[in-house]
Amino acid sequence: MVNGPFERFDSPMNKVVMISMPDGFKGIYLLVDHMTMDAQSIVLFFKDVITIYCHKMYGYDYSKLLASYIEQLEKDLKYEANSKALNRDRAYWKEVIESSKPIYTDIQGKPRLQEQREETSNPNQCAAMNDGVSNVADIAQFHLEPEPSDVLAKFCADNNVSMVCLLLMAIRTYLQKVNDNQPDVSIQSTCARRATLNEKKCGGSRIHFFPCRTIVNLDNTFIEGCKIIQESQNNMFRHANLNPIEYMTMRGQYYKNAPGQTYEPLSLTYQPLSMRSSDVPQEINYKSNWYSNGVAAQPLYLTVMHRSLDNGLDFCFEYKKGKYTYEDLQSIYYFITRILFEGVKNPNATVGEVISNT
Amino acid sequence: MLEQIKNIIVNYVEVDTNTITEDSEFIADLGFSSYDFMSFLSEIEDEFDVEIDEREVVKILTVGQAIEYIKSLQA
Repeated sequence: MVNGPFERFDSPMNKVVMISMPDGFKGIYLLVDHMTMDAQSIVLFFKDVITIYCHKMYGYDYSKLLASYIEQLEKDLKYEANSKALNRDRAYWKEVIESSKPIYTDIQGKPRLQEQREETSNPNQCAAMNDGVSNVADIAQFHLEPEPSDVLAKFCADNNVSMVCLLLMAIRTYLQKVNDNQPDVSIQSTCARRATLNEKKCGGSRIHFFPCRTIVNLDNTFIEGCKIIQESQNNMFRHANLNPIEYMTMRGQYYKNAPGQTYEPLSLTYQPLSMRSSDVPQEINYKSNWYSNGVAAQPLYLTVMHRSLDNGLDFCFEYKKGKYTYEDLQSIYYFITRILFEGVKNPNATVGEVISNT
Repeated sequence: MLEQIKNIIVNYVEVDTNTITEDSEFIADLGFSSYDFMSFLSEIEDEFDVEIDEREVVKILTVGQAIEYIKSLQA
């Protein structure tokens, strides 16, 4: 359908075609540049398409009109113009950076940092190069069935913990496990800055990312770890309007990191919005899939989202093929889900016990 | 102050201002997500020219508790 990226000028930067599959399924294939749409935008776009279809077929109401993105941009520009909020956020992140140095924990264990410490003859080196391979990439998708997905959702509701915090807890416990029980773990966490109704309905992606760094000891319980993460996430949310590039630059300069050095082995996004909606006829059956465009900017990016078919969770690892294999991701997914369900089953078990049992 | 807070709340969630009381819980009753609530607190800081201590955030569950805390900062 397209060979290469969209033109950046005088181009809609998307392509939509109707398709008819051999199994009789008729659908819409959407190709879109990530600069204009993210997962949330795509879900909202298709929800609007379905709503228009239902309006024409069944007389349902149309969706409400979008809010103004121009107004949102004006608000952002006001923030950037040396506002009190900007200075408050900048001061917060400066304090976070200067409070203590994080440490890199590789998804495949200690050897990466150890090798780089030997290369630089610096046994105290805490940051590591996590890239340097070609951008050729693929997506490995793993599907969690609806019933166990519901178990996770129920745990979150019963314990006042968000799904993203539960996922971060599982991933950081895995990193702790494979890095000799290192308690200090950082994972890049995305923040979709859509709080107000206008921000939710104005279109555009508004995604920022900041490290979620937590120190969880082996004798902390699983649920305590979730709450530690929740506090870290809440603090990040309060100061998430700062340009993350400014934050990364500040940190790199403070710790005199070499270009490419990082403390985070992967990024996580949780997409809570589902295609399923109570506003449209439930007999409309639809499915969606996400295809790799063959390249990625980061070595490993995990997106967890709800399947449109049955609302179960999909774990989508976008990975650089020069760094990871599909089997690597299978193994990581296996351990993350084992930790998830061990922790959910025994939230008062210690992190040490969860690690031993998985 | 309750009316001011209500007017800010309805920027975040689709609720009738008449249903918001001092006992309304932000997350349980009004439907705020964690991010919505943190963003709301930042707006409160700008609106009332106060600075909210990170450690006090966990204690603010209801609209009434938010009002009490803002008043204590202004005193």
